[in-house]
Amino acid sequence: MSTPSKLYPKKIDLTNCDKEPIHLLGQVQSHAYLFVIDALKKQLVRVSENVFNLLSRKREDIHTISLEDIFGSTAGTINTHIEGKNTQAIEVEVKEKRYVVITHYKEDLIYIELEPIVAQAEAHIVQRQLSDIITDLSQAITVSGMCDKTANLIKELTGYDRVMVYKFDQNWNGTIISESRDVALESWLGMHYPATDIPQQARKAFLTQGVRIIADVKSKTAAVYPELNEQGFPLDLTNCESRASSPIHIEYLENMKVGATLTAAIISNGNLWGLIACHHYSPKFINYYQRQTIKFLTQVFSTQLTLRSSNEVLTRINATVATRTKLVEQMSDGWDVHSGLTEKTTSMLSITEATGGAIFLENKISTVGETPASEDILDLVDWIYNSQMGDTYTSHNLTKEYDKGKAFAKMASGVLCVFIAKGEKDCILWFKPELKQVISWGGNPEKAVVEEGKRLTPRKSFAKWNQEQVLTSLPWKDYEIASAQALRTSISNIIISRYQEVKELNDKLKEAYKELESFSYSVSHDLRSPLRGIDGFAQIIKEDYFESLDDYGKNAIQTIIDSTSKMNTLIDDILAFSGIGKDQIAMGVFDMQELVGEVLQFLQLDKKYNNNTIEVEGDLPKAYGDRGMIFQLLSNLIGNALKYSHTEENPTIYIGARRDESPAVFFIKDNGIGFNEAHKEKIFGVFNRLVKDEFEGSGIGLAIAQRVVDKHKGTIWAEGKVDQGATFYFQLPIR
Amino acid sequence: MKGFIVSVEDNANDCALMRRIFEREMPLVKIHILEDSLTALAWFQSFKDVKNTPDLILLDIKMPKLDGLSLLKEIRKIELFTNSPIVIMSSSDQLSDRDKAYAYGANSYLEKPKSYTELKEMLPVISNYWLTLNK
Repeated sequence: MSTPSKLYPKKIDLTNCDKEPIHLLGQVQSHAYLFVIDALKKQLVRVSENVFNLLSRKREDIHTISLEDIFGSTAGTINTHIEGKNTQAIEVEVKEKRYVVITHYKEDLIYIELEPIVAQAEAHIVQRQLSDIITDLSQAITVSGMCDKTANLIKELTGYDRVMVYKFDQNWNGTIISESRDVALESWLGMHYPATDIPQQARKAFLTQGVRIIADVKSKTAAVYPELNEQGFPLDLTNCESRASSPIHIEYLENMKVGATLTAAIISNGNLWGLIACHHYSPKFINYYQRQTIKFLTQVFSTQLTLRSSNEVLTRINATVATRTKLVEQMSDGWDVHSGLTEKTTSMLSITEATGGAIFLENKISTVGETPASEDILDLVDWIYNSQMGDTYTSHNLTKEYDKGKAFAKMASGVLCVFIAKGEKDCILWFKPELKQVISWGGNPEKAVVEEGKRLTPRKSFAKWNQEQVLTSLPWKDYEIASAQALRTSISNIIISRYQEVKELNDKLKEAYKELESFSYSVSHDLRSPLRGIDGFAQIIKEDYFESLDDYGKNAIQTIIDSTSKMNTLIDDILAFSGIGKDQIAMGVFDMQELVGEVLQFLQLDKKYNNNTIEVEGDLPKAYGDRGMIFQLLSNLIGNALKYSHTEENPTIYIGARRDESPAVFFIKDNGIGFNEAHKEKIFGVFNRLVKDEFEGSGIGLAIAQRVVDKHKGTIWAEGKVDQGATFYFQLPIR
Repeated sequence: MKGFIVSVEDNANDCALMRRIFEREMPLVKIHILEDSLTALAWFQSFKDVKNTPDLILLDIKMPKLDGLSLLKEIRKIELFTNSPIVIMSSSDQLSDRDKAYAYGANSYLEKPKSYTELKEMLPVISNYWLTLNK
């Protein structure tokens, strides 16, 4: 452990001023007097050096100085005040001058600060000022309007030469976004200041302290006596109103030719949003009451700001709700998230101000607008994912963290990435282009620190220094991030319901197949048995009574026997089909022309459908598949075509192929009863017959066709209109 | 070929065809056809003629009330028939039925012929096997 005296670094310069313990500097500004009483010992333990002058006492007498010695007749009041740990400011007279007494308490120490009262405003004036503040600020419509009003009000209330509203960016660089100044002064509006100008521990102090002044940059400060206590510690001046600033800050102000300052913190949602910074070019003291007024003002400002920013965010998020709803509709249509976000009338770009968007889902990338190439997006997603930066990543200068981003910085210097599910790379991304713009710095920010002799000092020049900002986009706004996150939620909901839908379909399909199998099973039993009866008794007639029959009778018996045999073959086919689910399919190249011929022969055209005209295109392409199964497929499709057209006047069937597609698409076209286009998905279902009972059929024909094609991983579809015929197409993949 | 065959078959057509085939092709074989599975069970359970147990039992598989497989299970519980040859004549090609049949103690599982002609070929073959060759 280092000893307390070593806490204060020997050499403080701009390289380590972030570490400067500004609350332990042991100096107060000379306009104030500091008394520190040990509450346990009831004894004065420390004072600012100027106290000895004020009271005409010697340093060694410090412990003997009593409250009466300081406050005379009002000592009793002060005593009651501090015994009650009161913090309200009270006024006293010391050595014929009026002071305001400011007290605070830390551990066992009582801090009493005396500040002179100068030019105190009348109570009713203060009252009016306060009500002005509230009315003015709440009337301002925009944040920038509010800033302007604030700057003007403070200028009016305090009379500083220049009043500025200073806003921090994400990197703690500051910009002057509003200014009220004496006309003679050059405007600093829009100037940028590097983060080093207000170091981290100063920003931290602002969070608790609120308003601070430096009354006279040039005046000597009064040291705290004794510097170290009996335990060897310097005095903690964190909450002292009159705490002196760091010498580096003073040097900075001197370089800027500033004589006095006031700074007030603007806090929004618990974070330091910005500062109200007042500069005066000669010494200027603002008394406690005025500072309280400013403090009140900044509090009103902070509240209004928080309110307004969240209102702005809310308004904008609400504005994107309708768009998001539209996107969700688009995505739900066919459950296609990719096309829903990128191909339809409303794209994912419309919920942000981005100019490019991408979605990475199920190993597929879709983009809209100006985006990097797909492989670049993939790399970027990998990098963001592996950097484990949570479910949302934003950057408006990507190349700072991601060097490969330089390749596409032009269209994507800004990136907003939202991951859809934990532990998955699936995400949605938005891109903003590089926006080259000129930034005016209050002095060259790269030379915020200059080496002078052997010492680093703050820069001397605050002249406007223009810098071209590159590889940077417009920042991402809160509402953009919020609506991106909201979209993410919608997408994951869609994915979940899509998954469920697919699962349900699968279950239904499984059930249908099961049904089909049990159907086939019962067919095999229930049809076989009566058929065996027909066959058997026909055979018996043939065996025992054939000779007693005339030719017609003989023929009839033979026809019965032949027909039952064909019927048995048909049952075999259905049984074979029900076995499709189990058996391996035997793939091979076969002659489609030949197969169609066989099917036509099988279907007994001359007997049942003798009025149908059947045209078969010549030279049908060869096909690849399980010939036996394709036979089933064709006999079902051609059989249907015959069945549903033979009641027409000139039933015509055309069997052909579209050779412009690869592999060729085969089709069977008829001029029959057709079907309602709205049911075109349904017709392939098991037992989904859409026709009247006048057409015989089991209702599994097209289900069988569909199943055969599915087994081949091919596709089958239909076109048709009621009473205007139907065309069935199928395509079998080559491999 | 001589012997005693019991067949359980609920389809009247099939029964008639079977009867005719036995009469015509195997006149010396005694065929007893039970046309209902419950009646059949009762017949088996009350069978007392120890010296004249059937040489072969043919069971259809898909029957209402009591299916062939359950009937098979019940028949095997009867001491007299624990070792009688039982052949399942099934119109089902489902592997699960075949496995069950063997598990319940069937001696053979055959697919029922599709046509009269096939049946006429098949019945003498199985009868010959169980009544003569495997006696």
